[in-house]
Amino acid sequence: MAAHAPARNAPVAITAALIILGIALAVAGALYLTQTAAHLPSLLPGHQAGSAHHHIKHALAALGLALLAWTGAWLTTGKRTHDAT
Amino acid sequence: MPALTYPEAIVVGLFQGVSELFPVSSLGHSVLIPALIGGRWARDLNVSAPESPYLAFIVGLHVATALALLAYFWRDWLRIAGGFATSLRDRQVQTADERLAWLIILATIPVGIAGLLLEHTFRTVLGKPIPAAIFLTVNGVILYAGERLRRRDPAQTAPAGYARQMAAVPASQPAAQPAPEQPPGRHAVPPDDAAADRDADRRLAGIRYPQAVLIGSAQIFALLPGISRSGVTMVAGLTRGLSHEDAARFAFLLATPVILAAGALKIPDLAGPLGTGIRGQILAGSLFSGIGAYLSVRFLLRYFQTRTLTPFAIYCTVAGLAYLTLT
Repeated sequence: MAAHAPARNAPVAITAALIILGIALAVAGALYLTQTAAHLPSLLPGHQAGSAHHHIKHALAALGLALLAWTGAWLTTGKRTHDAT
Repeated sequence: MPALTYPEAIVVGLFQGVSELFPVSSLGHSVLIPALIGGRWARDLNVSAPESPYLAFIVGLHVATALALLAYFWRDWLRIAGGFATSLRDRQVQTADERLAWLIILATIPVGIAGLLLEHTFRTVLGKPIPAAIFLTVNGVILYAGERLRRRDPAQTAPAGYARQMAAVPASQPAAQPAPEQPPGRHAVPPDDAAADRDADRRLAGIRYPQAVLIGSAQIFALLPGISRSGVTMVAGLTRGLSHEDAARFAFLLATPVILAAGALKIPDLAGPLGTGIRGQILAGSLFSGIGAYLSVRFLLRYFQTRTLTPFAIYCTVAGLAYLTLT
């Protein structure tokens, strides 16, 4: 039987998508941390005209999800040691 | 007079610790019981008031409940944390512990996001006696429907995909004793608790990722006061083919990070002005809440080895309807 190079856990495109998703979430997290609710882009949940509130919990969630996306990207770069049956 | 008395703190703490894990909705009872007692209790223990000291008190109760769950499942969490670490090191998710770690993480994301976006709105708008009684009744119907659906669909009691997936997951540690392959929902007699825990976690690791996300997402419904987190998660697990014991175990494992995070994120409330003057009461209530939660999880895991959700379904339906009828 011919020897095969171990296959990646996932296609490169998935890795790239997870990295980009992580960056987007990290940017959102930074915005939540630094901007008041009034100055958040309207497409982000928590935008509220005239509010001086900082959405710290939203920031923590976005940064946590960013970390998770990057962790997922890291996992996809591994090599399969055996095929699932 | 303090905003919260010691008797109030101890009774509500004990009740919250027990009802958080029983499939009967802790939030629903936190709304309904003070309303039933009335007077000072209804005024002090109002979850829908935006600046109520009761909110700081609930933070302490949640943290205590989460700590009780961590204490009960400490062996599991050590293995799950180890599985998470080895999955990162090896960049693979292969063993039962590695799979279980990622199943819990992925299943927790939907309720985490929904909780952040909706919890405050749901609590302030719906955290009142009438909506809580309606949702408690609905909770009873959900529990009963879950049992009925599970019984009506024989394929769901032993789905082929679940068994195949389970068989393909290698154990992280050797079994304590040789045992034949078990179909889902059937358990070998374990030599000790630790081996039984490992066997149970290995069965749970056989859940497919989309199914785990679906089961975890069921916790979103528990943002509604009156809907039980463990109840809806168990129903979701039962309808995906888990046994009662495995569904309860998975529900408790999924609840731990959610309850802990919900408590931890609100610790500033506890340390801030809302907690002033009632920190002793919070400590007393949290102690009783933790004891209640620990005893509850211990009881429920044994209870669900042989019994069903039906008694809780009847209780929730009757209690909800009784409140609606009598008030």
